Amino acid sequence: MKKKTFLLLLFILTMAVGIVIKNPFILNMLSMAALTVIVVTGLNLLLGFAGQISLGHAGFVALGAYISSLLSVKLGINPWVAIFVAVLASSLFGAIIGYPTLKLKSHYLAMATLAIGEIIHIVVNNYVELTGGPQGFSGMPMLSLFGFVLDNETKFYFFIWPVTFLLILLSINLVESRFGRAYKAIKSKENAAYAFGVNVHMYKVFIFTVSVFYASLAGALYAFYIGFISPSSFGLTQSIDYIVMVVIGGMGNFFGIFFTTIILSVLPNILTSIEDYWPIVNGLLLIFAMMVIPNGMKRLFSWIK
Amino acid sequence: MDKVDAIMSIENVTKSFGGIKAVNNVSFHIKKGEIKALIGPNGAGKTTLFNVITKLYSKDEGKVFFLGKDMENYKPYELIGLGISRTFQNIQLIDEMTVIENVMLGYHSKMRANVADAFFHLPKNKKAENEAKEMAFESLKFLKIEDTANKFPHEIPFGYKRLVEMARALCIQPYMLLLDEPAAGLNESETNRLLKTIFRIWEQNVSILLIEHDMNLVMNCSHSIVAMDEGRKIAEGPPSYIQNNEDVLKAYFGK
Ligand SMILES: Nc1ncnc2c1ncn2[C@@H]1O[C@H](COP(=O)(O)OP(=O)(O)O)[C@@H](O)[C@H]1O
Ligand SMILES: [Mg+2]
Repeated sequence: MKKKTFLLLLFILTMAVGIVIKNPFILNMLSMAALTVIVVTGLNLLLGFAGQISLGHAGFVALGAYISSLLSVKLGINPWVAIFVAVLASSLFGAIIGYPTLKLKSHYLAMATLAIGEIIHIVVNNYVELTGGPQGFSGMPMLSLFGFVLDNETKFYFFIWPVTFLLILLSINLVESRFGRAYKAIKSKENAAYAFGVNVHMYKVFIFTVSVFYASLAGALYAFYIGFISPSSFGLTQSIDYIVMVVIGGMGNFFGIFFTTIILSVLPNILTSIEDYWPIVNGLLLIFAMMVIPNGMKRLFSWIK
Repeated sequence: MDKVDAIMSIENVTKSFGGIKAVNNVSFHIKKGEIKALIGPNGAGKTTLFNVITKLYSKDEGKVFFLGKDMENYKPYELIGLGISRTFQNIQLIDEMTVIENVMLGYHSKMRANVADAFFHLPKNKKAENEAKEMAFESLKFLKIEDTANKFPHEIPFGYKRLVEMARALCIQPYMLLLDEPAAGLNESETNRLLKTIFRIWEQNVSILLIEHDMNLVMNCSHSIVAMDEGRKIAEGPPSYIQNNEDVLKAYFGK
């Protein structure tokens, strides 16, 4: 089966789930999962295809969330415009960080993003007058689409999932083009990439920027959906969770990553009794996945070409 | 020799790693339409010279000209656009791509679809993909390995991998082809087939610089040979001359 065919089937299934399930708790959980799928899909392009690691993606999610919220609440800018500006600014910021660090060896991006993620976290935590600090920031208006206010779980579900599928579709398109081949070459045989005309540095900067775009967009949409953001949602723990999802999902395997992300974001909500132990459970899951399924979920979805 | 006849000129190139001069003041020309061989024992500096020519390594001294252009001004990813293509001694196929996809990577630089075309799967992207696929398939057919198109590199024999590397390098129809030990690891019949293939490539007006360990192959297919040892050029001339050159024999069979 072709990737896009399977994606279409999944989309229909997701829509059906939205129609059948009326429980707002479950719908909310699935919408939150969709937002995570967006971040992880972007990270998959960077890590799964181009082989570059970011340890600060939660920071870019925060950037999208805070910039859009501040623009909207403090300056009264239209939410969509605020989201647009926030995502653009975050992506530009990503490009500016990526440009010098991606000239160097791979681990510099890991170190730089780790630092940036922490700095963003510290700034939103401490710049209390502007961001509300640890108490969080709220007051964002509901998003509305063509005069249709996304004011309940069902409506948001039917907004966010099509957006998510569209973003997955775009990432599949990119990978199934000459750029996908170039990134795979960059990941494993950089010399071949150079020899066949790939401007390795600029390609890395580009894919990093795209992944920051995905992350900040998810962050901005999250902020307007929940109407409240606080630094605790955007820490190193979350950055690592995103990486775990890409790795368990099978690095570059769209559907393995899709299901892994949904499961890993839904699980802690269901198993509330083990909430405090979630990091440990998560870690054990990672080890388990690495041992039992050596290629992550790759084998499970190998029938999708 | 006159620079005008040369497709590539290498002038006084030196490259050191730490204290070792892997390439030491090497100069020679490759004429348009010739097969030039670069021989020498292991560690002579042949691959290093290739990597300097293709700009994967920066050089310490010297100059390289391609069709009269100073290569100093080009980035490693711009060489393919000039018509210089290469294979690697340590095979550089991408394991997660099929053979045809690997060969299509060779056509990357000629594809006009940009990222927007790719993201939104616009007609331009589709057209470019089809064209690349066609060219890649032609390239595989030229090397008579088109039946491996949809296999992955780990599913084909070693000898075929070298041919896939060659198909990838030929995909854009280069002016100059650099082959780094294409016969290494091949059995006798595969080597004979390789010899014929090299001639067929040459017949397409491709100038070839061939690194080879296998003296027999080199003597049979090259117009001119440069011998290196310990970073230096020790001899240059037609096969008949190199075959009887004392320095070359010494380098190969002990001092
Ligand atoms: N990247 C490198 N770093 C350090 N030393 C190198 C590197 N590449 C090659 N060398 C050294 O340069 C010398 C020439 O190697 P090489 O060019 O691979 O020889 P050949 O291809 O003729 O067998 C060897 O001594 C080798 O160890
Ligand atoms: Mg070598």
